[in-house]
Amino acid sequence: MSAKGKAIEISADSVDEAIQKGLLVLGVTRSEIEYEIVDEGRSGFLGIGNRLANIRIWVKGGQGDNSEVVETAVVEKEEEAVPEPPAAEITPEAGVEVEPAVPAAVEDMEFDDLENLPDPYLLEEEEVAVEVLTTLFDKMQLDVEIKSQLGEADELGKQAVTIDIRGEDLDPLVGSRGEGVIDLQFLARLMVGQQLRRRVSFMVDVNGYRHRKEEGLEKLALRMADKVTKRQKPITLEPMNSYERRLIHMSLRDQAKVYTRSVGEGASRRVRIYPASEKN
Amino acid sequence: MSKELVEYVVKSLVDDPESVVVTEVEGQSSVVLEVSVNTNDMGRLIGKKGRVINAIRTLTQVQGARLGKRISVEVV
Repeated sequence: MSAKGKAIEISADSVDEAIQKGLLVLGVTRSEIEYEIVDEGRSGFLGIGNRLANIRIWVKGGQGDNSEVVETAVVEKEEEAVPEPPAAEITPEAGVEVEPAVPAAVEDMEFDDLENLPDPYLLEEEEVAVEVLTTLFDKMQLDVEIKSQLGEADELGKQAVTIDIRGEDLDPLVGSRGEGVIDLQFLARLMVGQQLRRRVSFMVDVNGYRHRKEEGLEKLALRMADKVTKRQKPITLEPMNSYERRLIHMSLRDQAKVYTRSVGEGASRRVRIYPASEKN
Repeated sequence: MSKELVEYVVKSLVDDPESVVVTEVEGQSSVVLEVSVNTNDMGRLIGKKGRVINAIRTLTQVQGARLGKRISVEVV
């Protein structure tokens, strides 16, 4: 595929990610491209007020004069020259936009695929995680089947890798309250993180334990939300870890009749569900 | 073997894998695994509030239960 002559515009969570995506789209390496930053983006709090980074990227020599310009100069110029677009215009769904220098060439590219490009960092994470866990179970002399999958993007547009481990005789590993799954995930993340020299956030599931637990929590959340709506009084749930609390918050995020807050500190931090009427 | 398991896990966690030594002291119904690492890696091996070493113990206990032995992991 020759991408020469085309500049494509790409949005992602950060400029770095956008460049990575661009490299995949163009099918070239880092040294063969040039890019300019259209919008550096901004990470908001819990998905509120964040804006995707936006870059324009092209294969060197593709856009003639631009190759002469020093990168930083481009950045400064762009920021001055281009008025900031209203935030509303940039939606999280805006995946990859293509601005061809030669319109005819665009027809060669398949845009459907480009919009769902996997994050190369996640793919690397997935690969190393499978490798580490395969060795780990080998050393434990447990016969398991290890599958990995890239999850759907969640409400905040974040994707996560899940490593699913299945096998007989794994009940002792799961433990009565899943403590083994939690410990295994904790260790595996550290081991993979150490190898990749960055923080990783893949999930580890054993015989579907985590999956069942998640479903249970979602059901609990909805049931309690119903109760809160009927009684018009807040309900406080059991203490949970951050991941479980997040699941509860997420499952009630779109419920107009209630809202959720976490209260308490440390190990006794719990989710409280309030009727929407109390919000002010 | 628990020794290989602990060796693999610890070596993957530390900055200085070369210095990792795991010795096995086998008793009648128990096995003691003594782990030593570079002083600079002590924090990585133990973790905040012992979380790392305890997670390693969880794994060896599972293995110990299968072998009918008590496996303890000590930091030396």
